[in-house]
Amino acid sequence: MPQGDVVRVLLVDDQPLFRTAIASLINAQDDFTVVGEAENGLIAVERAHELKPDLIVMDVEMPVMDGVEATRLLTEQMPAIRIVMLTVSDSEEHLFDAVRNGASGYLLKDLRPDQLYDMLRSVMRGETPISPAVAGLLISEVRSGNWTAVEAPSATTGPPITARELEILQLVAEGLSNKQIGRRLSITEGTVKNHVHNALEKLHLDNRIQAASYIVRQGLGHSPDPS
Amino acid sequence: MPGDQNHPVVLLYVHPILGEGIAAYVTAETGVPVQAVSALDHAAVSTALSARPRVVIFERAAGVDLADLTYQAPGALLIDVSAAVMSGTPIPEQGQAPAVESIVHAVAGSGVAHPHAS
Repeated sequence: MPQGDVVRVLLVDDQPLFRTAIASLINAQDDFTVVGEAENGLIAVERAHELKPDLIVMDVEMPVMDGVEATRLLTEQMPAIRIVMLTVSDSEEHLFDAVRNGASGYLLKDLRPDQLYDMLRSVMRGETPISPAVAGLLISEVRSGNWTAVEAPSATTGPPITARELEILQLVAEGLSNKQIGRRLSITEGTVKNHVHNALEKLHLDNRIQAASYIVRQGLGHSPDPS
Repeated sequence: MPGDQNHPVVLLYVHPILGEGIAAYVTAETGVPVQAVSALDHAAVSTALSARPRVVIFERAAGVDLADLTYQAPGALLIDVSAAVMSGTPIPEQGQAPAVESIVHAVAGSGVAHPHAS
């Protein structure tokens, strides 16, 4: 999507009143517009094909088809669409399943409106926002090495990542933002973003969380600093 | 502002995006200002209710339920929207969230349209 365009949003939640509330907030932002709504995952898939939104804000627990399954289908069928979960569920299972299936973010419904806007904008910048209340679950799981959901790409497929890309992914795995990585390596945030994007493509990964998991499981992470 | 006599429709929320979103929508639809207040801020709730609102839209929280509000906001029309953020299969005893149209109707028809003092 070219910079400066308004982000077209599809809202998916089984509660009409909640959809109305979120639509009211999002439509008040100059850089977002809600183009459609859906009450379950199945209808969301249909609407996504009709409306071709840039961003889908997706509940997790819904009747007929839940948000995780809809995310899996949409990631396969329309990979250009960013999908961010917005849910009351802080369960590890939902979080991991959503990320594993292509979600670009996982937000809890206890956010303030300004936090919601910031996180939706960050998704459109290619970042992967996670509500602080559940981010700790993910980091713990990745560090423990128990999360094996992301298949390691075969060493024989795709071009290998460069040393610079590896270095940057190692810092991603340490939880640094693009801005922090840029400062650490004395390069611009945009350059970091390009390296991350290229590395994800080469490794057939969808987002930074999967990249962090990959680095840890491949034993490519930096050793902890002795303290 | 809490306690402002010119905001006789009050919305007590647990989830800010729900509360602020409904307040913005209903205000836009009716022209009636809706004062959104965190239900977790007991002092702000108490101040808002002291303005004797005619309509109280609320998410249930500690100290904020039907019994509390019947006592603290006598005569007010009480609208429970808690179910709007409940996930998964609805639990019958928790009820269903009302349709936004019924909230708009209640607010618009509550007789609270008033001069907007500034």
